[in-house]
Amino acid sequence: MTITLYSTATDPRKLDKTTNATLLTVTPITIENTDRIDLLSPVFEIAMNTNYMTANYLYCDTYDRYYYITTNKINTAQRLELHCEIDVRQSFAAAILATECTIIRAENIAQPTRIIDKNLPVNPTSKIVTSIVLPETSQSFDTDAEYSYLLTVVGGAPIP
Amino acid sequence: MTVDTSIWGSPYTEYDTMNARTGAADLDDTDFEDFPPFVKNDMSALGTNPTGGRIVNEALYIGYLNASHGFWDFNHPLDQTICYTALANPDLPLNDIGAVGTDAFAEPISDSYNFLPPKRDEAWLYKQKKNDPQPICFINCYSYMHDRPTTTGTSQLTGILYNPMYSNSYPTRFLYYVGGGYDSANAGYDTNTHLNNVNINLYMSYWRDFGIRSLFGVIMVYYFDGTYDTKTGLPQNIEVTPQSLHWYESQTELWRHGHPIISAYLDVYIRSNTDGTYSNSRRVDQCFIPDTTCNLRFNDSWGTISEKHVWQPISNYYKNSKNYMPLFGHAPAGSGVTNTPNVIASIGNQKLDGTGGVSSTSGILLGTKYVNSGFKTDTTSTVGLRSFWCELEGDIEDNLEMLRKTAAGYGLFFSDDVYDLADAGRDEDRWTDEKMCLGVIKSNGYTDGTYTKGSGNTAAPNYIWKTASQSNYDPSRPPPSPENTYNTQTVFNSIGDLATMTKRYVINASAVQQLAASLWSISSALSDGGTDFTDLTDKYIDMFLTNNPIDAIVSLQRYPMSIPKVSSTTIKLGKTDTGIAAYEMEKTAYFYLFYGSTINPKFGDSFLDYEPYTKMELYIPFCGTIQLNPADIIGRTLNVQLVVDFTTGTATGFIMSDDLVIETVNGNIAIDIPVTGTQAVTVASQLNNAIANKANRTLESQSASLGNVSIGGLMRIVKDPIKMIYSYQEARNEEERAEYDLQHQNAPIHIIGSASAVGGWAIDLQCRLIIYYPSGDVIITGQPPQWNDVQLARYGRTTGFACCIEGQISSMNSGLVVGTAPDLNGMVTNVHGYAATAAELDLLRAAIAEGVII
Repeated sequence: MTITLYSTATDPRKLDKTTNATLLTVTPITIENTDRIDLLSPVFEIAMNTNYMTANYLYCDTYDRYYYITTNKINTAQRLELHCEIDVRQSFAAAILATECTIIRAENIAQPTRIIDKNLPVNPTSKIVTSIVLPETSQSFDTDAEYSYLLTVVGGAPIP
Repeated sequence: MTVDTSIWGSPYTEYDTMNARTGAADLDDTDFEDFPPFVKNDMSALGTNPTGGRIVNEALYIGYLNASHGFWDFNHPLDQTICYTALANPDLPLNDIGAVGTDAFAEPISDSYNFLPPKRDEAWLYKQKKNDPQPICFINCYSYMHDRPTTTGTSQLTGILYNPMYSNSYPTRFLYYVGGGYDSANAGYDTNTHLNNVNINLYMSYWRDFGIRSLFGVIMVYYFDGTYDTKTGLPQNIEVTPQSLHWYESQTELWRHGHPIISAYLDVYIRSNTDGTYSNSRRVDQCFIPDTTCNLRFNDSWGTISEKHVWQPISNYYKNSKNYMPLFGHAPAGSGVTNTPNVIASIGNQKLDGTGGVSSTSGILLGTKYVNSGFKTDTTSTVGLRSFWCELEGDIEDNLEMLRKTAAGYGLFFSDDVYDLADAGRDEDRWTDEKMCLGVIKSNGYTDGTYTKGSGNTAAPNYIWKTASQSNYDPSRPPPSPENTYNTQTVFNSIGDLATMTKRYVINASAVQQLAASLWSISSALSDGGTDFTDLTDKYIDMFLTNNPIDAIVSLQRYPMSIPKVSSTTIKLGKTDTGIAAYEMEKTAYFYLFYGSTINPKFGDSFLDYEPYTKMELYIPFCGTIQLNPADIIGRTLNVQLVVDFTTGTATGFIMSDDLVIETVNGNIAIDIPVTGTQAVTVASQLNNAIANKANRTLESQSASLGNVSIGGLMRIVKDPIKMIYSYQEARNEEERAEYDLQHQNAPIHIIGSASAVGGWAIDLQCRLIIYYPSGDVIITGQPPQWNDVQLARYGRTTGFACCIEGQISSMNSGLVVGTAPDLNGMVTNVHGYAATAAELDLLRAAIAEGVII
């Protein structure tokens, strides 16, 4: 069993965390643990090396999985304990990409959609008030029109 | 089948649709021909230049293509239909296609497929229709199904139709699946040296004129032709039904075994070696016998041949190789087909994958497990025909299933019911879905013996065609239901002339002043010469039908426009011509104004553009404002038609989304100029009443909420002792109604005009859509609260924009993706492909729900 140590500052949600990570081990470190190792939360013991103190991420070839180093502990006999938690995102990155699901949020849509998004901050009180004038497409009002009076009189009587 | 089900889907959920499309009579829902492409076509009407409904829909279209190109492909789009080599070349004249022996029928026997190029399909079909009234896929197609090619390329089997024509009105055996043997490794194959044993006969029937899909494979246990039958001299027929085996009674009792499911009559013609010498060691190789669950036992009349062989379903070959199963076109290819057969001319004349071709003594022959040794030899020294019977022992259903799988390997419709389909195929009542099977062709073009029955697909989803040349036919659509007749245009009628009891004059301000003065003059003139007011009143009544000249004036209004006028005249009050210049008004009493503008979304047509985030109000001059739903007008043209009624002085605004009226609102447009003191008081009274009414209702509603202590509340209690409680909501509603009345009965212009004719008109006389947009929570110095691109980008990166997309996570290409209900099939690690544990699956589900960044 070997592990490869990284120092990564990538968002935990990112599938690929090693591309831009600092590779701390030129060659994988062989692990010779004497205790049990858990698949999900393994603890690896390696020889103490100050370079490894900055590691926060590793790959274990036996499990073929990537792990976050949650903490490390310096043990006796110059041993460094790396306490890890599995990172399923990178470990199963290709499978995740191929996973079919109902995508309910996505970044590269780049703008709000018609789906109501209550997470988007909307000022509950402030409104931008504006207006659109509907152009007249025919005759228009004319308040200065001369013949704008309408006189209605009783009718029907003959003029003598 | 899952007919893989893409194409066929459920025949019964859509047959009504098809009937609707084709106008075919509605058949009962168990008729196979009721679902596409089994629409009835009258092939006899095709003639030499057919125009009638051969190709009535995509399904049949595909069917033709696949058949004529020798391949049935249920999943590929049309332009990916595998076809013959020549068809794959769009430059090849179609004239070269269709004749036996040309490249058109040279099968694509390499590992690579030839795909039907765009437009070739249409041309191909055109050719069929234009020049060839008969389905070309059957014309001049060799159908010899012998197990070896010959030097002449002709069939070896008697009884096979080389050129099956649709004119055969009864099921015709066109494809003849036989096992076979040969008598020496390199011997040329001839008509006399072959072994016939278990056979699959594919019958095609045109009797329903379905087109290519009328091909039906019918599993028939084979007898054989009596030519070589030296045993009885009679044709022997064995028919198999799922439950029993029937022999014709002509067969001797000797061969009626206890449990044979399939018996076949074997003819082995023993002949001399190619060198003319006689050999008494003829191997009988290659028997097409069902799989390991079935044993083949040969029993000849001498009882000497008995051996077990293994049936290798033909589909296994296709499943395991990179080839596929052609249906038509058998052009013996390659060199040495005579003595060095590197092309196996079994069904489809399929070339196998053996290096340098398949020799006669090694490799795998199509559909057969080659048995090179261990077979019983025939030790008879008699040259000539030897006959055997073979039995397939085993469970009836197992054996039949093996046969079904083999037939399914052709990807055709078939049936295991020889009675109902082969023998009595013309009796449509026997064609039921339970009896009809269809071999499934996988999306990769292989068959694997899977089949399905129509009865098993009644709930299967329907296929949606996705070809570039697809018609609008969508089999997945439910049968069309009667729809309402939709209309999106409101019709405005032309209003004709209006007859009135009054007379209307269009005048100017000067005339108004003259008229006022004139009234005094009239009065003075009439009173001159006397002070007897009784006489004066009589004169008034005589002159004006009233006792006061001013009462002859019904109304005086001013409108904010030039009133339509016609001929000039003078104002006449009763019998008195005042001589004041005026115009007669047009008889039509209306005036129209139009407004319109396209309303575009502000936030990319997102949810922010709609309620409750965005609100819209429309102000219409003289009519006030009305709230509109943005969803009704965004992306459309908001039109307003304002109709002015000169008779009543009112205006009605018709609010239209495009051309359809969605709201109406009323208001008063005319300024009523008080002529008398009474009129002025009336106008003021209306205004005061409305205001007071509103105030009263408001008080009532407020009081009701405080425990019915107000006058209004107490009064209501007294009025309605049973109810005892004056509903707050009731009062509130009345308040709102009163407010509405105030706004509408006493529109602002009317009120202002009554008090101040000039001031009222200072209000906006344009239609104006007032929009209340939402604003973001982020404040940028010097700008109103809003979102900007930077903030939206950040939001997308951290939270993601809400959406609802079904697809793979990778379809988002980049950035944050949040999903729900993931299909966690195939979750394996990146490098070694270790499958995820249950705990990891939970973590993966949570990770996708939380979001992953690609």
